[in-house]
Amino acid sequence: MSKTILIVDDSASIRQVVTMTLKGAGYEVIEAVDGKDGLSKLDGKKIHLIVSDVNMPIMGGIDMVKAIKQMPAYKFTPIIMLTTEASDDMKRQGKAIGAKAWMVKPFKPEQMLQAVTMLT
Amino acid sequence: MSLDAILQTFFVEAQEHLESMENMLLKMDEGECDDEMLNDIFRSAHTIKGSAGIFGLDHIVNFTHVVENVLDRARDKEIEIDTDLINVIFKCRDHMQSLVGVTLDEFNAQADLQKIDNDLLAALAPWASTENIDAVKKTSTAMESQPEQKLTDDGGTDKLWHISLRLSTDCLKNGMDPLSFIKFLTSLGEIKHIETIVDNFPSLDNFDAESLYFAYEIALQSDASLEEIENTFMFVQDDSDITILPPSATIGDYLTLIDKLPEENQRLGDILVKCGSLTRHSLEQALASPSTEKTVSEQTITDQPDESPAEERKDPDTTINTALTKQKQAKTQAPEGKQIRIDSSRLDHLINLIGELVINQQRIELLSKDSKNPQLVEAVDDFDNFTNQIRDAALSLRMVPIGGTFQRFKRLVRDTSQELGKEVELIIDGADTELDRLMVEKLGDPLTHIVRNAMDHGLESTEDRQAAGKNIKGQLKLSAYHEGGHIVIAISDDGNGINKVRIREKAIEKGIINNDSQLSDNELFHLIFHPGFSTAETVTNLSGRGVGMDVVKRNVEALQGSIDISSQTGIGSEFKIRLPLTLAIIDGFHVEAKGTHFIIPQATIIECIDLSNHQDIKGRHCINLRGDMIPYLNMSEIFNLAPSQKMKAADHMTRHTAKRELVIVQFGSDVAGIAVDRLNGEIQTVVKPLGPIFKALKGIGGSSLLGNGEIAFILDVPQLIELAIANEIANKVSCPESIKSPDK
Amino acid sequence: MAEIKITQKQNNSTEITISGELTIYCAMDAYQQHFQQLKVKEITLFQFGNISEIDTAGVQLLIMLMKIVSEQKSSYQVTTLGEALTDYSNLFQLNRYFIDFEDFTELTSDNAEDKQ
Repeated sequence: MSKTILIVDDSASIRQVVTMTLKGAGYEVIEAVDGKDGLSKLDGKKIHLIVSDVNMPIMGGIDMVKAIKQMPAYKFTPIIMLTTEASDDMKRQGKAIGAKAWMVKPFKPEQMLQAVTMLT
Repeated sequence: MSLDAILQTFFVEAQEHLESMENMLLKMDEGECDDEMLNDIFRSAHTIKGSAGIFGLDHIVNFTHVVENVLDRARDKEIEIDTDLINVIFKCRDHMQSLVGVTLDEFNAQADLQKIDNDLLAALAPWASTENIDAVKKTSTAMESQPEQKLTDDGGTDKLWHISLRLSTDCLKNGMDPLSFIKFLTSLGEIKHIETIVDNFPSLDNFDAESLYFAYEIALQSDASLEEIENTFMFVQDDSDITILPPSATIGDYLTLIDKLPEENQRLGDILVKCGSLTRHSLEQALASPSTEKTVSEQTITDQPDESPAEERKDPDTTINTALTKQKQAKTQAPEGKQIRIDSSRLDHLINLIGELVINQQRIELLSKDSKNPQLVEAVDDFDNFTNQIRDAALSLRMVPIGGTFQRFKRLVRDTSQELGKEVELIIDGADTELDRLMVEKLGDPLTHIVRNAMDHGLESTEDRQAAGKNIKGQLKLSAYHEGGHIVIAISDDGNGINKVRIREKAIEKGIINNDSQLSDNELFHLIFHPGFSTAETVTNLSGRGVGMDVVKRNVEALQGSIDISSQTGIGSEFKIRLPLTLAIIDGFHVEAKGTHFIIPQATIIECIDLSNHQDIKGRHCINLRGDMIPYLNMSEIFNLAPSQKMKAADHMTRHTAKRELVIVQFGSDVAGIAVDRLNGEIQTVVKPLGPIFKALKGIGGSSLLGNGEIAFILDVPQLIELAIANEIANKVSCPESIKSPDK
Repeated sequence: MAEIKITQKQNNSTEITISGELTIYCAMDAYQQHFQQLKVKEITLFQFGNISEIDTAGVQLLIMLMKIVSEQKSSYQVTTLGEALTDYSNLFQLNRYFIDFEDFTELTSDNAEDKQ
């Protein structure tokens, strides 16, 4: 059974690269353009890992994770947050609500694949 | 989807972010500045950097990183935003745009780009935090081993690593299952032994099923580097004790580990022996020695938790603010999912196909009328109706509001006004007006030139304005609106108006007109479109740059458009660009001359008259229509048409009744006639561009297939009118008396 | 979600059957509802054959269950293991619990208590 990853990023190119990379490695991938979209894409589906950007319009990653942590069906889903080294404050906020895995942007596709493999 | 296709997505995305950055910067420049805007602009830089990195476009990443850093500091209120900073960021944005346009290799090969890069980085330096600049380097090396662990990777003969994991009790709750890490380790090597330690289980009542109580001691046989093994646990290293002993580790290292771990020494020793990491013998010896009492622990190899829980919980205000900001953003943003992005070439293809559909529909309409079958005619009528609706709907897909183009001029006006030392206010009107995307793309250059020209030559210097009693701030207005099947884009200023005397002098000086040429104001103004004409007293940095107004005119005409100028001394000037709604399909009027089919764009036609009822004025191609003198062109002469065989036969029979028709066309304020043999009526037609060999042919804008399969040429009315007027001016010069008494 | 059935049998044994997904999503409920107050007879039989998915929280729960059973001096046997648990057990080399039935009493008496 292949595992399903939700990628949430407002950058279409990042979503597409991540999707291509993960699909190539046999994962199912669901894309969402912001936090709100991400929440709606969960839709009761079994999600093994969420990869989310932090800074997005409409609803950012931190707010999305807060919401996810309240959802019984997803509260233990591992989440990789994408950020820059510049946002330590964000990281602190995120870690406080349980988003422990952080990946620094920019990353190479293979780094992403490796990170996803580590958590699924 | 291929990487190349995604790269295209990146370019489009980067462009959007650069535009957004520019808009934000412009607002900031006008003194508007809030957290939300700063966050937006930061996010744009952030996204560009992030996406560029994934494609390995390091030149973009490296530069944007510093910009992002500065923006981040501004966002955090560490630095203040002033005009200087905005100016530098404007330049950085432009440079980012150049960087996005080149590959890494191209960048490395272009010294000038690198120089700009360095200059701008230096310019940013006062605002950038040095530690954060260094952070780039740090992050790239962050995964390297700490000094205490500098042990050669290949020290051991069997490459047996020992990994000791005391993971955070919360890691399961955070979705970090040791299962995934251990699985990942198996991809790095072979797990010789793994001991799952259950010693730390609590009592019945204290057991929390979501906490991790397992501890692990692992013997891994692997050729991987320390970094690779360490990276396996990078997401759990906070709040966890992770010790990795390389194959070369000494018994001392193991003893340090045993000391540090919470479990009882002898039991841990047993486990390590079980793992094969230690021999029973060396363990016994070591544990027996007094130095390994649990007293000294001279070094800890693990990562320290880097934040205290107190810190983690701080700043509820920030969180609330962020939430509020997001809500506000959500309201202003267009509802998600209401837009799709498609490749413009696909859209063009669709529109082409619909063009073909329209042609076929016309053919069917002809056939149905011939068939005299009323039901068929009715059905075809309905078909016609829907075809038109499909056409309109498809064309509207390609329509975009001009607002985006106008927005870009804010920047140009800002920069130019700084450069010229003139205060200029830009007013934008009718930003919602939609026009064909193809036109929007091609309008950029002509508009830029006109705007620059208006600021450079149109608007007076601050002192002059003051002296004239005008508002010091000059006004420049960009507006767009519909006018009778056209879209008009007007650029007006409240400057001094065009100096007619000066233009005239200059035109004479340049030999464009004769000393005694009599020209109307309009004709005079149009002289500035003459190639090489420039009235600037001194060629400034701005409008004196290579391209002249003649290029502007040509660009506009290429879009089937025209330019009009009006100007009043002391009050201002206005440039009006008139454009058709779309370029793909035109409503035309089908005419024939010597058996050749022509289509005249419907929007240009004023009326049709019977030429045989009018007399030419004194041997010239010019008639007097209700008091106005109208020059006209003979299609057969202009295009040197010889009658076709079929036509010749028909001509013989109908010679005595042959009528000559004149189609009166207008473009802008110019009126001229086109003389043809036959009027065939209105037709809707698809414009097909002419091949390059026809490019030199003046007066033809394209071709089209008629319903019966014959080719029709689409007339380029502006060019024809220009030709007719040029002939007229030539005549005026050669026989000036005709102007004084045109009715003779 | 996991389904847990506890049957007290006539022949002085207790049969515990777990099926479905035994993961962190249901571990807390499972523990509190079924195991915290668990009383077993002399022999405990575990039926794990129908566990379709298990994670570390799930395995930890099973080990805890075995400890509870051991502390009540019941001898236990895993009668069916199932694919999911077998895979996990092989990877983590836990067969001594699930196949060889290690006795926990020794661990529970001296170590676990004083760790609290």
